Amino acid sequence: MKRLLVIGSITHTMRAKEVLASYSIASVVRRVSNDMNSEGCRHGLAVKANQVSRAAEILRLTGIRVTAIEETAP
Amino acid sequence: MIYLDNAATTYPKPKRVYESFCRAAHLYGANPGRAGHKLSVRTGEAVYNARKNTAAFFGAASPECCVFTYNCTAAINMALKGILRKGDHVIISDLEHNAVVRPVNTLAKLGVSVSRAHVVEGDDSATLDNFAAQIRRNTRMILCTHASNVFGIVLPVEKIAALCKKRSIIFAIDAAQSAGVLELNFENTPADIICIPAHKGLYGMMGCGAMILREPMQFSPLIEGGTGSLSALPHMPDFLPDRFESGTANVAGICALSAGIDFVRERGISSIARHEHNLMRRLEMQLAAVKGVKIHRRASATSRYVPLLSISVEGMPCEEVAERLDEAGICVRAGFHCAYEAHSTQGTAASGTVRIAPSAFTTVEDIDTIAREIEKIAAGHFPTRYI
Repeated sequence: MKRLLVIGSITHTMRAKEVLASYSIASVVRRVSNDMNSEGCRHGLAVKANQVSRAAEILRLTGIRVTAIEETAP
Repeated sequence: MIYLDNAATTYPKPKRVYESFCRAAHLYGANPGRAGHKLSVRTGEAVYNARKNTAAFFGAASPECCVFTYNCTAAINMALKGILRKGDHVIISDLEHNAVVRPVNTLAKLGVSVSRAHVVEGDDSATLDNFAAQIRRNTRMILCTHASNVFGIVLPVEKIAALCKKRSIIFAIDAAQSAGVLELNFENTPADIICIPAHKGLYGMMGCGAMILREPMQFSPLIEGGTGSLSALPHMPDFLPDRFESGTANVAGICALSAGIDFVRERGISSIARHEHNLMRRLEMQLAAVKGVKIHRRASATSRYVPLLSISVEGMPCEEVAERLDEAGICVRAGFHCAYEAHSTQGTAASGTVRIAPSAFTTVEDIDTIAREIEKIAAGHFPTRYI
C-alpha cells in the first residue's frame, strides 16, 4: 500500500525524493491526478503507507511544502 | 584554425560537454515536468541534477534558486524588468554591454530613472565611491557587469555587494565574462542575483543561461506560460523555478552546462585563469614591441582584468585587421562588441577594437602565431595562411 505526498513542481519533487533517500525512504515520482477542485498539474512522491508520516515530517523540516497526502495505486 | 574569439563563445568545448549534449538529445527526449511517464520523469531528473550542480557552483541556497534561461541577456532582462517599476532608480556602470544598456533604456522610457557609475581602471575604491555617490532614496537596484567584455576590466563586485547589502538595495551581476573565469559565488560576493551564459567560461553550449538567486525572491516574471505545474490557475506559480521558467526547457543545453561546470570545477578556476593570463601577458609583451599596435589597457599594479586583450592597429580599421587575421586562419572579433558605451568611456568609440580572447584550450603556439601575424599586418604585409 502506498500514499502520495503531493508537492507541486517537478523540481521540488526531485529535491524531496533526494531528501527522503538520504533518510533511507524510497519514493517514486508520480504525476498527481487532477480533479475539479485542484489547482492543476502537480507532481508528488509515492511512499510506503507506513512511512508517509515520517516522510511528510522530514519534508516539512526541510522546508519542502507538501500540499496534500492522497491514496495512490500500488 | 586558431580560435581566439572565446569571449563571444568558447570553442572548442571539452569532450564531456559534447558527450553530455548528445546523450541528452538521445536519452532525454521527453518534456520534463509535463507528464508522469518514465521518460519525462527521467528527463526531469537530469534537469534537476544540472540545476543542483549549477546552484551549488554559485553557492545558491537551494537548487530551485537556479532559473534556466535562453542566455545571459534573457537572465538580465528578467531581473531588470521583473524588479524595476516606475519611480524606481537603478545604477549601472559605464562599461556595460547592450544586454544591460538597452533594457535600462527601455525602462527609462517607462519612468525608471537610470544613473551610470564611472569605473576607474585600477582603483576599486574610487569605483566603489562612484557607485555610492549615485545612490538615491529610491534606488532599488544596482546591476553591473563583473568584467568588461571589451577591455577585461574587473569591477569590485564584492565591495558593491557589501554596499548594496548595507543600503538594502538589490544587487545583480552580469557575469557573462566572469562565470568560470573568476571565483564568483554568493559566499564571497553577497549579491542577490547572478546572471550567466552557459557557453562562455563555463564551456556549455549556446542557447542556454541562468538567472541564479542567492535565495528565493519574489518578483514579476518576464515571460509567462506553461510550467507543468498548477495549470488550472490563470497566473504563474509563486514558487521557484517555475515562476520564471515558462515553455519547454533546452534540456540538452542544460545538461551540457552542467558538464561544463564539472570541467571547470575539475580543472580549477584559478588554474584555467592562470593559464589564460600567462598567454595574455605573453601576447601583451610581444605586441608592446610592435610599432603601430595599441593595447587598450592602463595596466598598473592594482589593475584587475579577465584574460582578454583589446588592441588596434594604427591607420587600419579594426574590421580590416580581423579580416586579415581571418585570412591567416585566426578568428578574433572586431568592432564595438555590443558595448558602445564602454568604448565611449574608454575613448575607442570612433574605431572600436580588435578583441583577442583565449580559452583553456589555447596554446602558446596560438599566441605566438597571432603575435607574428599582427606584427606583419602592422608592418603592411599580408599574413601567412595557417589552416
